[in-house]
Amino acid sequence: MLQSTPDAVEQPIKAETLAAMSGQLLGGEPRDAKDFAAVAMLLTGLEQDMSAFHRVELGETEPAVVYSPTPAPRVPRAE
Amino acid sequence: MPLSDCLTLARQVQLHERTAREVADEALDKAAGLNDEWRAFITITPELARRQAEQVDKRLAAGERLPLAGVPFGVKDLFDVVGVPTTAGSRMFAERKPGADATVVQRLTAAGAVPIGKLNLHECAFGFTGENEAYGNCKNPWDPERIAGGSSSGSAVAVVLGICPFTIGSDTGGSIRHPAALCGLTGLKPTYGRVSRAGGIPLSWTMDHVGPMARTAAEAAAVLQVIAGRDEADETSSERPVPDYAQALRSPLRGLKLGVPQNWFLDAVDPDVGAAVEKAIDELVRLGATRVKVTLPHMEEVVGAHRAVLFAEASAYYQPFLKVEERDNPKGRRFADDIRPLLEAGLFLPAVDYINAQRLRKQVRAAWGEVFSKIDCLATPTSPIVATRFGQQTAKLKDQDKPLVRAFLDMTLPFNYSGHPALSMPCGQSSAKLPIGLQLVGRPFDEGTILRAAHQYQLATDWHSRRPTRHAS
Repeated sequence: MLQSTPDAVEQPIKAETLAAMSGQLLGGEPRDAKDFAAVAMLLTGLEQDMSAFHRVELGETEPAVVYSPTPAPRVPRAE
Repeated sequence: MPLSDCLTLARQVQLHERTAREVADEALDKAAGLNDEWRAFITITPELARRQAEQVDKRLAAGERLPLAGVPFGVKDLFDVVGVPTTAGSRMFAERKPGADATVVQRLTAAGAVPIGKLNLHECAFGFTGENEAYGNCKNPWDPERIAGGSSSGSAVAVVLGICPFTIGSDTGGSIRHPAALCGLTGLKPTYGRVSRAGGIPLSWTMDHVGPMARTAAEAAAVLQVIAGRDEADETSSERPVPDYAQALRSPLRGLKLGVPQNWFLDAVDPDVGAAVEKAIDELVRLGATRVKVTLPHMEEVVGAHRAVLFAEASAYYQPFLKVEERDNPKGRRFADDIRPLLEAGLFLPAVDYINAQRLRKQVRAAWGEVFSKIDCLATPTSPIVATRFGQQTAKLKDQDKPLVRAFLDMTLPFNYSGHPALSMPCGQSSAKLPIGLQLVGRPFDEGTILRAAHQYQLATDWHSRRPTRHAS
């Protein structure tokens, strides 16, 4: 599983919350919370792996041009 | 006995010393004989291989020159070969039979290479061990109790076993370089846009890369020469001209500015790995490179941003298949129990995380562009540890238990996020005689420089030619 140890996260993600959303996202009836225990654990681990990313200051940076590994030409910002 | 290297084989077939059909038969025999034990292949394609080999022999008889004449290869079972299921290592796609070849397969067969089968992988290319519930675990030929690495596990094992001289893999977080390192091969993840991904099942559109695995950089260069270049079927493929990689290999390393990172990559590595990498850097310096100390900023942030992009894009692609499974089979057995949560997780991530990951990408490219303006390439370990045992979850590094996903991928995934070309080549062995990989990272679209550095290193050392005892001859 692609996850880190979630111990350090204080507010773990609840499987019940995910199960409540599952009908909308996956179609059909909402599933049981137990079906989302692994996803909840995974998301909790991801939160930990993403903590530095969540703190980063992006200023006014626009998204990268996804389909180019080299810098895109600069588009002048509107005054 | 392993088949010869791909350059020698192509020359022999081109000169009619051997026929493509004879070479194909030999490779097919090996594949069939070894697959029950090692699980490198999901599907072996004898009829297709023999048909293609006979075509190659006819084309040569008609006077064509083919750069990969009669060279057998396997392709990760993520890429389409007409009429053969593309499973992505998942029961979900077991019946998926494509009507056309992936571009990478088209280009290789046009160059005379002969496809002998579809290679095993970590299910949906979403993992790094090569364990696969549906199609069997790919074992590491250096120690069958250990993982081959992944997700391009079969692509590595087929080359180590000497079944075919090169294979095609894909790399979204390290899936070519990681098994290459753990199995003692050269594996190249080209620049994003250098090789078409058309006809491949995606995992993460903006970080998926296609590339070769082989014993040597020279062979990887020969394969890259054939598969690189613009493809109308993949809008992300670059229009930049493809340089002559064979020519690039020949230049000596004098004057090469070799970046050696002072942060992140050497913070916590196994002592055997650290020593081997340091020795390899010394050897590159002895060959003429100049050591330049560098620091790459944003590394921990990049790990999180890679997660945001990977999980969001994977869920976007797989959501329809998850819905099909929900409708037809709510207990969900077509995706393995350890894969399904990975495919679902991105559905619950905020869209803002994905957008911000693309914003950070711009900052990272600019910051690393500054670093790469001072160097020609960067040298790092590919992995801080060697191949682990099946079932192992953590690795002890600096007296701390580190989850394997962090240990194995923290050094490779940054260059999927940034798109820089990167390769892994063997540079030593641990005290347990397991391969260690050195990662070389280049400037965008400068595969020639990292291939040259690897080739010159391989001319001076023999790590790339070592084979596991059982398969040495």
